[in-house]
Amino acid sequence: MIKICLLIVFFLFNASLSVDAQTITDILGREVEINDQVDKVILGEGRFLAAFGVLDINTPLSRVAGMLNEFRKYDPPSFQKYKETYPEIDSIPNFGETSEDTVSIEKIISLNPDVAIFGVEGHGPKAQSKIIIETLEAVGIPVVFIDFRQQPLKNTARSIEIIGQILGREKQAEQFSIFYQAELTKITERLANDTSACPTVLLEIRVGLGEECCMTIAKGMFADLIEQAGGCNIAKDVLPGVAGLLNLEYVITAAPDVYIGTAVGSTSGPMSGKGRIVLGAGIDQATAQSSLEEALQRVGINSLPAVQNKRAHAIWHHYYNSPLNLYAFQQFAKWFHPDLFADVDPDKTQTYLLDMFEPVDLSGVYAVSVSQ
Amino acid sequence: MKNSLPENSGASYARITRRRLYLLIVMFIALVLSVAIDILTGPSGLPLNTIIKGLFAPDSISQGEQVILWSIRLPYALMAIVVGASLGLAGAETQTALNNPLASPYTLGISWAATLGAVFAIIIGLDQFGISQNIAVPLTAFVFSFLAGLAIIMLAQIFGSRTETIILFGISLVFLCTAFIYLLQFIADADDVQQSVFWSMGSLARASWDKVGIVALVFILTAPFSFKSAWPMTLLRCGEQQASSSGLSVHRLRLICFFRACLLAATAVSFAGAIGFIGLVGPHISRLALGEDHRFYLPGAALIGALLLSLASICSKLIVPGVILPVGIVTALVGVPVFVALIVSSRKMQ
Repeated sequence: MIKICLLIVFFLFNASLSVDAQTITDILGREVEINDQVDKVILGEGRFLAAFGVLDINTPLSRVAGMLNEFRKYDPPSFQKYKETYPEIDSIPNFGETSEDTVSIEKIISLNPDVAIFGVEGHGPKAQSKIIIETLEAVGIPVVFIDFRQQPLKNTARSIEIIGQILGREKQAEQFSIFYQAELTKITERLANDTSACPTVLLEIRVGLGEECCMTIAKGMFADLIEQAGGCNIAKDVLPGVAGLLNLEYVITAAPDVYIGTAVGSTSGPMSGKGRIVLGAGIDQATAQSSLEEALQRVGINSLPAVQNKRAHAIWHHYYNSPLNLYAFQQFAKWFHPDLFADVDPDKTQTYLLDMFEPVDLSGVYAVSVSQ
Repeated sequence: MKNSLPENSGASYARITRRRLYLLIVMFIALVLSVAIDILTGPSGLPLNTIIKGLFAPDSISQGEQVILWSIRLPYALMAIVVGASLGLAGAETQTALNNPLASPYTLGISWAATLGAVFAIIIGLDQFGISQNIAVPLTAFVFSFLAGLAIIMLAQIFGSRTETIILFGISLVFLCTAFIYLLQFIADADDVQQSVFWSMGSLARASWDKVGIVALVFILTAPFSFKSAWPMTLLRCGEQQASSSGLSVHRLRLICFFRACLLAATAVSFAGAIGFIGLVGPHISRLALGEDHRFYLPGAALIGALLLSLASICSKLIVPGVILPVGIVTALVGVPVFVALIVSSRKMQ
């Protein structure tokens, strides 16, 4: 009898050990212990789904137990494309709307995920969300941080590796990481040896959303991409924080060489407001082009040297928080230093990324320039 | 001896009137100076002679300078005046109509209703129905705030125009509007929330000539009626019973004053956003300086309102050069010290 009891105890003990654990170092350097086999993850932002495509997961939604609802609300065209391929995206539970304050911890716990993947900052739970993190850890849900926006170029490849490790897709993650680093280095190495002046850049985000010009970013996100692509952001030494409204008068005086607007428009639905630049999945060149040119007609913007000299461009807004940001980065480099990067073909990078990695047809125009 | 008293009081009345007139002129000069400084300041450091040249012969300066002067600095500076004057006068009318020093379009929910309208337009995204946001936002803001004002007036009509009743209606309106604003912001996405918060802080960066024109027009059409009722309003300030016994229809006067205040405030905030401080404090400063005689108090409140917002406009450009701080934030920063200093010094004099 005692033997049998001991045997049972031994088996139970063994069984509990047989679920092998692995240790992951996340983007903040935290060491997190998670199960080897992860079947259910929750995503701090729905847009992180793009990373699953990168990992060549043909059914990216099958392992998503829940996500923030911001994907549907911020980027309806891409969401729609996902829905066409994976109708079940509609039934993935949401544990919050578009901000951290709307996150229901109870909902997350009820989803019983193996691991929670959060961004270090952004719309969902973030590194500062102490209560959420501590509560989840207390009930045994490990939290792993990734980052596509605070320091996009430094952290994107590493973040993909982290997700790859979680989902057991190390090989694909490495493949992406090697490609990403190689394409990145192509730009940064050449810039390091370049002595030409850096062009001044006006970044106007979410063109057409508000009436005022010019909402911009001075740190992280697109500001990071601009700086490392060899541009001088005119907001850098002016804005005290991350984002803010530049005085149009300052913009005119700064006389930027290059204009970049970010596109949050779409051809229908709630994002179809007048004055917005339209780019993204399913958008054609003519629509994109005319939306940019309309946005550039605003008084004050239309007389900027960047616009006069036809160096005005627009980029899809969501690259600010996407593993596919490489395309935006290469575009920026080419816009800033057209001669230096004459041989770089961002479109090829984009096609490669979307064809090789994304399971959903997201083809469309993601960047546009004024006609010469 | 007996005869000298009326002569004396007549002379002292004339002296007080003259003094108040001088004060009004001083305020006006201060406003002109402030507007001049407002036009002269900006991150580009346009030299004075370029500005003067550009004012009289726009074609003689470069295109960039023309845009800075004619599309940025002048509309911002003039918007500050017309919005400030409208809010100041609206506040003065409300305080007299309700005989309450805390009454203002802001505290009575008119500005909050405007914010609700704007947030509604931004979050529901009226622009997807083909109405440009530049029109949709101010239009809904105006409609909401004007309807809110009318609702208060109607309730007052039905349940009597006792000042406490109107004020309580107004205050409940504030809570109702904020509840709806938060509810809308809760279901909205963060971009829209950010934009609606930005809107509600009040900004002159949305100024344009047509907006300046509309606010100015409403002010010019409303102010004469307001100045015309200066005497009855002064009488009302002497006490409701006294005013009634002098044959004044207090109820009617009160509602008409409030109606004008709603119209002025709704127009101003629907273009500039909810700027709270001016409508409350402009009238107080005017009263401290000019007394209760509404022939001086009303134009004084408008002038002080314009001056405060104009000064705030200058500061909003100077605090972080190159960046625009929402003027609503700056108004209180600039106005509160001035206001406190005035209260303290007037208490000392008493």
